[in-house]
Amino acid sequence: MKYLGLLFLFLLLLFSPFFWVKNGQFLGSDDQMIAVITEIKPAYHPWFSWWWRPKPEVAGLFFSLQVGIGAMVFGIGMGHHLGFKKGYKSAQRALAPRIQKDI
Amino acid sequence: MLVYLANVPSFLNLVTRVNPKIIKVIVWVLFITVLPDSAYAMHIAEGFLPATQCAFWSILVIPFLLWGFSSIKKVISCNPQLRTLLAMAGAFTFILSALKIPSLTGSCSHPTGVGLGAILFGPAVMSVLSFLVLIFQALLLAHGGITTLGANTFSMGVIGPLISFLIYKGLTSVKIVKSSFTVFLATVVGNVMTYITTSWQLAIAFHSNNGIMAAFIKFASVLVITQIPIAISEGILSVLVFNLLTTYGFCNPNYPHNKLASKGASL
Repeated sequence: MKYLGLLFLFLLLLFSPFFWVKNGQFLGSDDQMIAVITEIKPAYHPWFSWWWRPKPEVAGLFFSLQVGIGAMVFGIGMGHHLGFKKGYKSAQRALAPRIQKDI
Repeated sequence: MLVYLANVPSFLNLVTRVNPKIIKVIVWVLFITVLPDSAYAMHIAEGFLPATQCAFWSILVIPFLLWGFSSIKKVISCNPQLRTLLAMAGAFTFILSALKIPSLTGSCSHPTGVGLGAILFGPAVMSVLSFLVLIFQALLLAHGGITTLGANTFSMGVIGPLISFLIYKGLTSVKIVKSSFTVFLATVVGNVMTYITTSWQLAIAFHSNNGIMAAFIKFASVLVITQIPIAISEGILSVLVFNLLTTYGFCNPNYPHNKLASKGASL
């Protein structure tokens, strides 16, 4: 319950730009960064480029893949910990029924 | 993260035993659908730093990475159970650095997520974890870059976690504010400092006759102002996750998992 308020605040902050900024482009701030670079040094060209660049849609796929992998590892860690805790508690209960130490 | 990377072969083995052809098909479909296109990235993009400065930042980052590897080794050898939490800290960074969040300035940027890991394990560990994240994004997404990997790791994996960690340690030792607020402040300031560092790196590389300071203000007005609302979002999320971990006893020193945590967990 304590977290619900925080979660609500997070979501509010996440979606508030759409109401505040009516006609925003919501481009990456990196594009603006490159615009500043070309403004300061118009003659500069990147001296190296990686051999592939995913299309925006496919980049979306990879970004969601990244989130998915991260969430999977996070969930595994959480489950591992909770399972360990549960097993530890039940083992403790089985071995020493009288000494109920809360961990 | 590293621990789970070590388990990848066995995982692949499991999958290939089920059906060896499926993976090949998936890989081919991915490569056929993906074609080069022009889009730039949030960190310093590929080739957008002069070669000498790329080399400078890369060399500067190496000792921090070595420190990070030894720190990870120390954490795992002191307490093998903590590697779960380590993997989770890495996963948190992995998730957050993929989320492009709209900001009040009408542009998008993404949080770094290194603050939480720095608070839990100390700053050195995060240099390795964010290095892994940046490599993933540079190779697969053309987001950031191989040449600017050093500079990006320095801002995201060294300065940001270091600032977060120092603020957290300082405020915890003074004990004036609640731990939730400490985590919030440490994460927000760490995140903003990351992008201030990026602005400095760019200003040093690209400045006109007006001087480095004028260029820094120009870059900071683009990068840092966009970042502030996102840093606040990241702070709230970090507090949520930190409280979640504390409630379930991840950080409880009396818990059998974490008996040795005090020896290895920080630094």
